[in-house]
Amino acid sequence: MIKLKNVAKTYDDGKTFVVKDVSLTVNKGETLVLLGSSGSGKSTTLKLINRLTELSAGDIEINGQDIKSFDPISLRRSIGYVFQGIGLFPHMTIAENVAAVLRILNYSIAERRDQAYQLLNLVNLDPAKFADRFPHELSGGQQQRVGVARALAADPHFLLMDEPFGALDAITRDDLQAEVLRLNQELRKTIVFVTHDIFEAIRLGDRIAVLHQGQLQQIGTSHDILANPATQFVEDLFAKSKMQCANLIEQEK
Amino acid sequence: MSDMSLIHYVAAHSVELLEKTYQQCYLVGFSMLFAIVIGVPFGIGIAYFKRIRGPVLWFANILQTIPSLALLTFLLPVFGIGAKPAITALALYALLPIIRSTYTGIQSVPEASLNAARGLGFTRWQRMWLVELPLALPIIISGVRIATAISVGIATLAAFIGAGGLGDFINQGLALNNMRLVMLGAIPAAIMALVLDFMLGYIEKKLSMRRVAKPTRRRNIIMIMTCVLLIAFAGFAYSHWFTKHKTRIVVATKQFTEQFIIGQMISQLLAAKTNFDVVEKPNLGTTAIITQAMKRGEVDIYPEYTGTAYLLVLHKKKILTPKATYDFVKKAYAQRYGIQWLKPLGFDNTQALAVRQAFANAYQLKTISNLLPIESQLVIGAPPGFIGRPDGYIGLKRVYHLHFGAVREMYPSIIYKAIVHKKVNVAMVYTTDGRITADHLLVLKDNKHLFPPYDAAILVRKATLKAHPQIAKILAPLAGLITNKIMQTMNYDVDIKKQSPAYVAKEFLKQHHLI
Repeated sequence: MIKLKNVAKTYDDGKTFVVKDVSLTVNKGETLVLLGSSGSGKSTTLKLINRLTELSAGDIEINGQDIKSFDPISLRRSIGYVFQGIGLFPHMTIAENVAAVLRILNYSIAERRDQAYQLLNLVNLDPAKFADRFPHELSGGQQQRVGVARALAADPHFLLMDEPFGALDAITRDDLQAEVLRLNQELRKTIVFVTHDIFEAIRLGDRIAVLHQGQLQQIGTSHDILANPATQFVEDLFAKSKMQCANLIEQEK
Repeated sequence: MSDMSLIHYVAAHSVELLEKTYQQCYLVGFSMLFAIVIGVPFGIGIAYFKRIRGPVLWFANILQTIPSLALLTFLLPVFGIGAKPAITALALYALLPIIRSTYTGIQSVPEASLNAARGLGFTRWQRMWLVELPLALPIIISGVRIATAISVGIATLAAFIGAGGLGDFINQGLALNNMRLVMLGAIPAAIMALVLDFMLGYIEKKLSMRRVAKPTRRRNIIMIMTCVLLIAFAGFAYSHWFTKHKTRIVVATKQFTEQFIIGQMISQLLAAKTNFDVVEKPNLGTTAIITQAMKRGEVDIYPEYTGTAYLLVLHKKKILTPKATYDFVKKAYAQRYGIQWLKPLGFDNTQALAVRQAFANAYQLKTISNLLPIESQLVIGAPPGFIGRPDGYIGLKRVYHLHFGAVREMYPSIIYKAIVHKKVNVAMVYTTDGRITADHLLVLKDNKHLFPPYDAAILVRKATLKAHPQIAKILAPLAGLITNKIMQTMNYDVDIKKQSPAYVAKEFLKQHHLI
């Protein structure tokens, strides 16, 4: 469980806030989508959780424990992190990339290799074919599958995904979204997923948190939000594609 | 030169060639090692800390602009002569490319990789070791490659301060006007630069290609190459440190023919009559360098001229008679530097005016004063700088009131051609030059003592003499034995007939039953 209490982030001593007074809870095994346009503070909120960015005010608890009591390095190692830039290490093979966290956790070479093969299977990449290749030999979609596998390497309970499929084409994105749904059924991780794509939010999120200008507008299931938008902003956001959203919500049920 | 003679020439010098090549490798290898050990951390430092970037690059840039010979000379008071200052200078030159390439390499690491490393929980060190340095490595190696190429070139200059290496051949070849000897140093140096460049280029390529195919085989290649290099280094270092056993006597010379010949006489005599380990340093460029080295005890023996010591080292101006000059420098050197002047060798390598024998006969010329009646017809060939020097034209005008019809400044080797072909009728020469006899020139007597005396003598450190008094006894027979005429002939044998200084010295010693 991840709990945010009155969380805020400012870069100019409180003149402006990137994130302002956000409180929300991510339940165990749940996928919560942070939905918002660029500048809404959704990515910053995510980075506050694994302390890639430090809080200006408020508290964040993970399983009831304040994140400030953790060493940031070990905190990050216990939380999987996937982002749009993917950031595979170009000088390492795919297997080495997947096992990167295991390497810094001092696993043996055999264990690393073993684990990497299992993880590649998990994200539907044939290890025999991919393990010894280098990142630039893979397509964008394949690279992000490796990115996901890498984030799962240390078997974290939590997974932070920062617009992971934002740079991929529609078909590949669709595949990967399906992949995430399948994985989640298998693994039951607690996931915080950031996106600006309403359909992605509806498809992947157990609940959706809508952010605008650093403030939380509404949090709830896609059905609730569509039926009872809490603010004008939320209503406008869904209005344009209301029919499609409704259809999609029906399908997902 | 035919191919056969070249092969024979190389074969005849093969032992020496191997030794000099080894010295060159030693200089380049160790200087690069130090430059990498210092440069890479600095490169990383300026990539992480913006504030020190300016000063560090500024400093490395300044180092780069110091002329190599000047830097080598600056380092003399601190490190003395030999390999130490040379390695230091080479390492300093190599710093800029290495610091720069390390910095560029680290800057070029993709932002996404760094973010990923941070997000996955890498510590600062892990990010550096596992991500930044491996990704920067090909660029760092390219910097090392540039630095190595520069080092191989500059290392040849290290011969000036007695560091050895292939530069010994080049310097001696230039001093002796012997192109084959120059080639013997220059060609292997060029080959070495190419081979090292190829090897580093190969490593660089393999490292960047590591992102393409299977890594294991490539790792082996790099491992093997590293091992070979390490073994080679170990060998070099071992043989270098192993040679320090019996009493070393270092015989140095400056960089011209006559000095080489006298130096050879000294070392051959000592080698024949003692069991010292006689080390020759035949290339110590300037008087200042040798004098420093003598004071520090890095050189034991070398031939010097009274005039040079008097004017250049002791900074005296008033011209004395040869005897008075010798007495003065002998006393001063003994008191100030702890250096003993042995008795003069017998020749005097001073400046002089010379004319063709036939020309002298026609006008009854014996002294410089004799030139006065015909001064307006005279055209003098002199080395560059003659017009402005107090011991050149200015002195001739002041002391002799001599005004030439024309003055032609030219390089020394051209002066002889010019006078032989009657393009000039007076030549400024040095009195022991072999071409004076060969070209049938007559040296005019300096009857008003304008030119300072340059009597040659052997200098030995007093400490060395005290420890090994037999040295004075062994060298004593040379005193007064070598006249200007003999020295001219020996210089001629080396300069024009292309005999080696060692051979000429040996023949002389044999002829006088000294060995």
